[in-house]
Amino acid sequence: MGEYDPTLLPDLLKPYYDRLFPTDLMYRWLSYGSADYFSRREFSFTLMGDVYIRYQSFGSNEEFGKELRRRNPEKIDIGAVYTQKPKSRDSSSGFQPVEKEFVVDIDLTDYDDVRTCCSGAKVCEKCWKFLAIAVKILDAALRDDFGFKHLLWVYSGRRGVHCWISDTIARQLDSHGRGAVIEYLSVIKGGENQAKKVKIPNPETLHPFLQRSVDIIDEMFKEICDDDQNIFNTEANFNILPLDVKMAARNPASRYEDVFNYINDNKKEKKTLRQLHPELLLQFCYPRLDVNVSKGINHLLKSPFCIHPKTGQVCVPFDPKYVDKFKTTDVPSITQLMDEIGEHDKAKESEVNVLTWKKTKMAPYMKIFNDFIKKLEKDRETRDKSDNNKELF
Amino acid sequence: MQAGGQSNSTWGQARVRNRYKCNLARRIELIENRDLYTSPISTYATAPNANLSVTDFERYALARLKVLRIIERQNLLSPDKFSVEWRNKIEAEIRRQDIAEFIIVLFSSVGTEGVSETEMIRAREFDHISHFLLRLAFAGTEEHRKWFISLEMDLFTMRLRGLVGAASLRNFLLAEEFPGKLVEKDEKEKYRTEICNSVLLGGGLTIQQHNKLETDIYKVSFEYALDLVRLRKVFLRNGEAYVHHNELVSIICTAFRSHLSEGLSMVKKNMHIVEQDERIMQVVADFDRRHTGNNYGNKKENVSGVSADELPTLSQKSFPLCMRSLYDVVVKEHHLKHFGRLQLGLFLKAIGVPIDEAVKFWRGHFTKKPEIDGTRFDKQYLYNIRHMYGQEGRRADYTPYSCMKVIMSNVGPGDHHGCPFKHSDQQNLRAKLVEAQVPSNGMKEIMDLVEKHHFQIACQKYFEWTHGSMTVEGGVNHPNQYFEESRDVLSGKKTIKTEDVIKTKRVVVMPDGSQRTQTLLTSEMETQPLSSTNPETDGDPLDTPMEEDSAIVDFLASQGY
Repeated sequence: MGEYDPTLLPDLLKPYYDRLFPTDLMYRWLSYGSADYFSRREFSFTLMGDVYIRYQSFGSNEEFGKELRRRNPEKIDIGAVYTQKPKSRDSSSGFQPVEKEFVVDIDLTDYDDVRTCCSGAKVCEKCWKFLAIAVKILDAALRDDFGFKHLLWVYSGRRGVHCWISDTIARQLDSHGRGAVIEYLSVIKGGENQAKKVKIPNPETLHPFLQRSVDIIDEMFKEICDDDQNIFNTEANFNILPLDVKMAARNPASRYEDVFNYINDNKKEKKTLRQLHPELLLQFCYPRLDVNVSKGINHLLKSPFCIHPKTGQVCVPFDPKYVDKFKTTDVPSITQLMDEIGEHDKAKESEVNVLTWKKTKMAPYMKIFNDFIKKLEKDRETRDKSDNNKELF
Repeated sequence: MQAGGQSNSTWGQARVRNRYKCNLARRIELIENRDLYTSPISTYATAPNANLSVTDFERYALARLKVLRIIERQNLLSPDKFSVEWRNKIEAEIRRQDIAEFIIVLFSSVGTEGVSETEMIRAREFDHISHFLLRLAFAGTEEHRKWFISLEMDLFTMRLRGLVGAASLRNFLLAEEFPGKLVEKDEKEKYRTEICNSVLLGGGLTIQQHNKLETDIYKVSFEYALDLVRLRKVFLRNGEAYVHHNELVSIICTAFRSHLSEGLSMVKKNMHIVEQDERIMQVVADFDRRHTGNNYGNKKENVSGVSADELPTLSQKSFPLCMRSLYDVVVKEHHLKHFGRLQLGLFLKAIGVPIDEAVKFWRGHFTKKPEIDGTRFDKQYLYNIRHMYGQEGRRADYTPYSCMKVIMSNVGPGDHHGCPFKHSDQQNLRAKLVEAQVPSNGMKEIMDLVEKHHFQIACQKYFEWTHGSMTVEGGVNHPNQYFEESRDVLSGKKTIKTEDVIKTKRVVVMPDGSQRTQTLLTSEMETQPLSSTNPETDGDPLDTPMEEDSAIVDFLASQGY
């Protein structure tokens, strides 16, 4: 199977949009049962040669597909639903964003202070464990705390994950509401000039959300921070510790054990240590969230099923329940997909009617997307029914 | 009450939520209309209907602006918003500045301090009208709206908290449409730990557990409790917030905020109607800017161009620490994240670095990174820089960040922007001060101020220690003001020793956009930024072209805002 070559991307995109990109499913998702709703949605395209066009909008599923095939965008961004069709907007102040999925964006580059295995755009299996923790913590909070049911988790194609929360309440949040939700979910605070980024008010009474997050981290903490990353070997990380802990862990060879042994042995007497323990767990493993992406109702985010131009990988949905097992290397690249289709067609010429994506590695990811949409549609149906009943009585 | 008739599933629907909002607004309206100004707190549900002279128009608006600025300043000084100390300081300052109507509205009741019923009603009317006048002045831009909403919210919350315990508040809230219900005893027991661990009192202490559960807990969709959600001060389960009855205030505030925010969008939409009245526009246009002192956005004639080559020296001598730090990061790491670029870039623009020199500066450093060549730079960053100079996008003339904005900015991993006095831990800040050659006694003084959250005063001290005891006129309010003061001191133009009397400025923007500066004297430095205005000044050029005794507010009310 061929390696992905970025210079060939333009040639690959055309057949990709022709045969694989799930236009119909995208339409079913983003219309939420209303053609009008879909037509007021902003899409932005990045075309060949870094041409960026905003405020695209499409009146129908057919128009959407036609434009994709005509333009073959390198990247599609999804924006908000506006008061008017973005394409035919007038310049008056009447053109305002009204709804959008609540989105969460996590990028591994924001973990460079705790990753020692890789940095920047590089990602390995060890790095993914940070994202796995992030997904578990956020998925639990979004479902159990906020009661959201329709979460679409996607791998961005290189070094991050996105979550599209599509419940009606989530879509209708204004930017103040979005800010409140994302602040609730943000634990790591402060920039490069603040080494210690987590401060909990009282170790005796941890907020249930923090308690759950700490518990999730605890399961994987030693594996990640000791075995994988050897976290205290980085001076910056070691320096976060208070003096007494540092003194107890002077031997560089056994820093990790010494730190946590010291904390455990002296926890009872020292409140600062009882506080330090969850703070360290959170500081090193709590998800780093891009707050600004979540806050802005008109903020654009890359669409699922785009091709990442650097890796050629498809931005695919995944099931958060199996996030531990997710391997970025399993995600097909556009080159692989095209090869697969070619081979399949050659081998089984008779099966021309088989849906194209079923011939490829896209199939399992497509199923996750399909299930997500079905659940949305089912929910809508029951709600419509109960609404109708109410009108009757 | 307790919304018994509403099933959980309908709460989430927009229809229901909007209905609640409307009902809340209507309820407020009813309460107000039953007898105008009987309520100690106004939610400003309806626009005022009164006659007002143009002079009064400005006086009303100005008085309220002063109150908001006092709150703004106190927010920066005390770490604990809405604490008793915070409230007392605000009261003291409002009394000190003798803002009569607000003393009555906020801190008196009929009968105390010799306040008669008529006076109270008049003061409440003043509160009502002035609020709507400022809506006009602050509806224009997103940034102004945000500022106005956040401070009006603080004022509103402060007043509401003064009411807690009063039966009127609970009655008001628990009226039929309140979309919450009382949590049953069994459920309360089931989630005892979770609820107890979520309700925090000031300082991170929890209420005694048994005590906490004796009081009522209400379940309400999280959207109504956004302020509690933001602070993680409430237990959330399946989309519902378990609200302690002490925190019901927060729920009213959330509703008030959306009401206010909608009101401002409405003003913005109808601004073209207001703009037709020159008399109003002369008061309202640039209102904020005129009364806060210098605006560093517009290039002044006396600013000579600064070239990229001068930056290495200037940055070490005259940049405030926030900008110096960012500059040093660019030089050392050849990179800076988005908001860091904005904070530094707009500052550079305002000290007079022209666009081509700015491009030269950013390109020179960023392309030192191996993965960024000239083409990549042009693709990735050039647009951004041109945007800052209003050459791209909607071609807005972006103003440089004030201290307030820098201090309040959101700083996350990888970020270097923000205020070093606020967003650095001790170790990092110390290192920076050593690098800037602040002696150890200066270090101690600055660290003490930081400890007490006096970030701007710490910055002023930093100025003094790095400028041979010369000080900044009236305290540091803006990085660009810091820069200009520094240039003046270093060039020998200015010689204000720390102990000298501090002058304050009132800047008047003339209709043609030019500025006129008046100098007033005041002896108290610390309060200066708040009292930088003086409505009683004779010969104010704004008064002359306007007709007296016109019924502007009447007119406004009729324009449906």
